[in-house]
Amino acid sequence: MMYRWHAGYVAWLMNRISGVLITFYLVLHIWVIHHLSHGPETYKKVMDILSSKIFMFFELALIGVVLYHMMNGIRIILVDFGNAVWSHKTVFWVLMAIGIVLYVICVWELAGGFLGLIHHEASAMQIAP
Amino acid sequence: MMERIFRIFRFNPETDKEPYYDTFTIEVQDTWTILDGLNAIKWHHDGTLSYRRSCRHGICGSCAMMINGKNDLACEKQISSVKGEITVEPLKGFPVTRDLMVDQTHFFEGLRLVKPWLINHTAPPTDKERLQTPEDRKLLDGTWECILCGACTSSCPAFWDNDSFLGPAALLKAYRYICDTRDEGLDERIGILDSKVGVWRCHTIFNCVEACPKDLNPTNAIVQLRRRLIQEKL
Repeated sequence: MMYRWHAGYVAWLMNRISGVLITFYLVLHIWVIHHLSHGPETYKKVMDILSSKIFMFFELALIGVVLYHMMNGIRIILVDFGNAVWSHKTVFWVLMAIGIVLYVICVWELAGGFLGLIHHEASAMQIAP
Repeated sequence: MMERIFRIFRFNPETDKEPYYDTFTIEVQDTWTILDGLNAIKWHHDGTLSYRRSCRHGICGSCAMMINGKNDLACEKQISSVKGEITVEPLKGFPVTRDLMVDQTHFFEGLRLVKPWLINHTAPPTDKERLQTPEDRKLLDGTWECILCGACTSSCPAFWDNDSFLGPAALLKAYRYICDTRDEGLDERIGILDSKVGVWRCHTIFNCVEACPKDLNPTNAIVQLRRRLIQEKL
């Protein structure tokens, strides 16, 4: 059941969804950390899986999800302790714009890292006999 | 006069297994409200159509209903302001008793819990009313205008999830008295406001602000109550 689409409802719904996704990530993160105790070989195997392209994509998605949750969290703090209860829609869109800029910066940085990794792999393959 | 189509939610729990929609094409005047349209249908087309109405001046709150997906007062909403087919449904979140009428028992029970009346332990002056400064009186603006139509509480997902939640209307009414400089009843209200069904259950979704036909901001009242409770606790 829903009432109407508007910034406040969208913000709340996405906050819920992003919260659930971050919880899933936390479980995955604990799973990865857990393999630290199984020695370097096992840990390397897990890290090889996590270095795959699909996980790189997940990593980019994770940054978006965390950034959204963070920006909306700031919005809720501003509603509860600031004056945003009268301008919550404007505050939402301004924070989303800042979030998008931060996301682009993060992706830019990460993409550089990924490209570097791919380049490194390609170089390694060329060197290999 | 022009023709308009009304698509109306119908449900009689005594005879119908499922709700359904009835369509009526009626002649309306430019100046008619949705309530005028419903009256025309009831008086000239189908006398079994059930809905609440009383004052026709947007002050009693009886005729709150969902008009084309938005909560509104049928007596204030002009037919000319609605384009195309006019869909009229009962307020969401309340059990439907019949057609457009809903059972608001929980809504009014929640309201009673916040003691929506002035609590003052000193006797009033014998020669005059309890006076306020204009500045103190101004604090009440945006709270006293609530007509308890239930449009806000009906739109609240926290209320849908748990109808024991006081809801935005009762909390707005609580704030109306707590921010009144003549009131001394915070101690009597703080228990229910600070409970599981009180201010902390609000998720600041702002549906109540979207739904209020009087353009009030119940979320602001809830935020102000939260700040007051924090001050009291600290």
